Amino acid sequence: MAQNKCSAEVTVCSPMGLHGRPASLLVQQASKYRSKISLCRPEDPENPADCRSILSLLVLAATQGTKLILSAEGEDAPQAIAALSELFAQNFNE
Amino acid sequence: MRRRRLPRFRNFLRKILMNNGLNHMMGTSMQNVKVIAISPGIAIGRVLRIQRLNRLVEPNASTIPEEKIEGEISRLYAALATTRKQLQELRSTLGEKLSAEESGIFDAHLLLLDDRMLLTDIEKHIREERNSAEFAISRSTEHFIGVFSAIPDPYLQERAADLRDVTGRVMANLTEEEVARPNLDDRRIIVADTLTPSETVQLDCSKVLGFAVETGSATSHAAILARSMRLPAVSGLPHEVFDNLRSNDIVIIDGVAGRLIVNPDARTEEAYRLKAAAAGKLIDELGRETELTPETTDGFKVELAANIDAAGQYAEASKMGAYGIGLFRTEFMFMEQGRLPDEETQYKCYRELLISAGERPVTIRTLDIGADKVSGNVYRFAEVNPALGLRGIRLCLYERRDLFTTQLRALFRAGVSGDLRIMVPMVSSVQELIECRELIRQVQNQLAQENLEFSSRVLFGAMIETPAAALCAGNLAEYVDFFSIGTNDLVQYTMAIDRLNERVSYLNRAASPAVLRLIRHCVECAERKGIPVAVCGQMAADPATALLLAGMGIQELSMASPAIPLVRRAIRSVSMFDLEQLVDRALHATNDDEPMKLAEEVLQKHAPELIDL
Repeated sequence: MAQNKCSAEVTVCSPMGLHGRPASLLVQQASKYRSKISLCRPEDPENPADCRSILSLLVLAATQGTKLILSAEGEDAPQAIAALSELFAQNFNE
Repeated sequence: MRRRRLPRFRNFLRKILMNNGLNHMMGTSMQNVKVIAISPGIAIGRVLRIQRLNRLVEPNASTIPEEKIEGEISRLYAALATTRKQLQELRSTLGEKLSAEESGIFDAHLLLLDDRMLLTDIEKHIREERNSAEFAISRSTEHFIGVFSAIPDPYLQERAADLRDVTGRVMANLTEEEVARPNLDDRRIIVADTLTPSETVQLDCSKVLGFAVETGSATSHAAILARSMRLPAVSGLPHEVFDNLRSNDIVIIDGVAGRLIVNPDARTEEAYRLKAAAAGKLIDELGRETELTPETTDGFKVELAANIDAAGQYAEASKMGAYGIGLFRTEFMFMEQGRLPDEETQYKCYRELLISAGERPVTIRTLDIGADKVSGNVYRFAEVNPALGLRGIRLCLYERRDLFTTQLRALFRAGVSGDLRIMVPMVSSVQELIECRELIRQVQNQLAQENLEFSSRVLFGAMIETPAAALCAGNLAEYVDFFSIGTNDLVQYTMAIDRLNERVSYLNRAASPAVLRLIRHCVECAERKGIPVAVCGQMAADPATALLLAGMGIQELSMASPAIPLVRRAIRSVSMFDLEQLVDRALHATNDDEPMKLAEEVLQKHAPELIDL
């Protein structure tokens, strides 16, 4: 099976930052894919946050306007990136 | 009469024991400490201590043998599964009783329970460092809380509390202790470091006599719960006292004077029992005076109004003899529901209140979010100094003008149903009032264009809560129909103290000369312009400080409903001549305690029964 690696740049639009409902939604959606999905700050690629861990996302402390790199590695990586970056673009349906 | 001698004799025996040092060794010495009163009343009873992770005995830090590692991991997962089941059960039993916000707490807790980062961290401690499951959980919890506290974001501070709540539960299941879910066989006084939302919702309230918590302000969950259940509560227990309290200790909590008495001697206990009984009797007696006019013996009338948080509380206010509503806090509507209330929801709520009040005046304060009252629905900025940040009218005008506009529309529409006054909180400059008036004009034009019925008779007032507003009251008076002084914030900003910080609570004096002079200045400015001044803070609810306010010429005192009968009795006991003399001396006081002492002397002379209540 092909191993894919994909990434995309996303921006946190929620005035609350990547917290609360947006973070919970992201965890729920990311858990649907088999790929390993992470978010990191472009300036700090060594410390990515695991998108399936609410705690890990909270520790990222991304406020409104923060630009982040969304990466996925695994068989369904392209689908995961497409769906999750859409979630950011739609501002988590707020 | 013979029976009365017995407690004294017992007390005498105790004294002898104490002199021998025995009493101390037996752990029964009485302690009487100053605490913060957060809900009025006296409770005497046995303690039920609610333990939590950070208060549990330090888990054993010694390493476990290698062959036990897998067993420790299974224990951890079994405890996680039990916790998950408990939380799910709790959520389904409570079901509809929960607000959206409270259900959200359970969802967040369930997510944390399955969190991979947390579990990986805990497992790592067990596998690599051979920690016991308890010690591993405790280390991981402290680690993440440390990470959270390094980030200046109030939201994360709340999540730290959630994390403690969840891991505390897991720990309880590991050690199989009945921790946060007390089975009460008799009524007890709950002692805890703080009460988490999930704990408060599951307490069997019929078994609780009162609360004593180590941390928590008058706006905390425990305080709101205690007041709504009419249970006495105190907070701010000194650390060493808190640490030594054990379940089954006898304590007295005095939610009026703010005292906690541990292991009271027989005489103290009897004195408090008498006091509680006398207080009950006096409250019944005062309850029969609610029809009497609140006027001084020489005929000066002071209107007594009620502070409420929900339209449904009007009935109680009216029962206590409130002449109207002096403060309706609308932010609770915004904080309690999962989503922000829309125009229709707000309109219905304001209308319901105005209809219940009939001809009587109702003063509604516009949204006062910020500082200690945060709502994730409204905004979530990390402010280093939130009390001095975007709150009250500042937030409404410059950040969430959309919410403010919606609220104003709902208010002006509801205004046709009664005598409505609106006031804006946290005013500190004339500019803010000019902008509010302009926005009100736009809202009215818009409503007219949409052919919606609205009132044009709504009075517009400013709250005086900052020294800037008080000092420039003369300028502000040009733009408003009335002032309402919020003394809690005015004290905080005048004395430059954080109200929740117990270390500076010695400066938290409502009746300090500085605050009194500011209030006096406001009254003088308002008199020149011919507009009325009300007070709607804690100062209006205390019979002694209420006398000072009445003496300074405040025409309306607004307070929590239960305080109205007390203040009515105080006002009816004195003459304006007495009060003017009192104010004259209080304004010239040279130290902070003197005005309060003087006011209490007047009360002691004319209505001594209110002093001890």
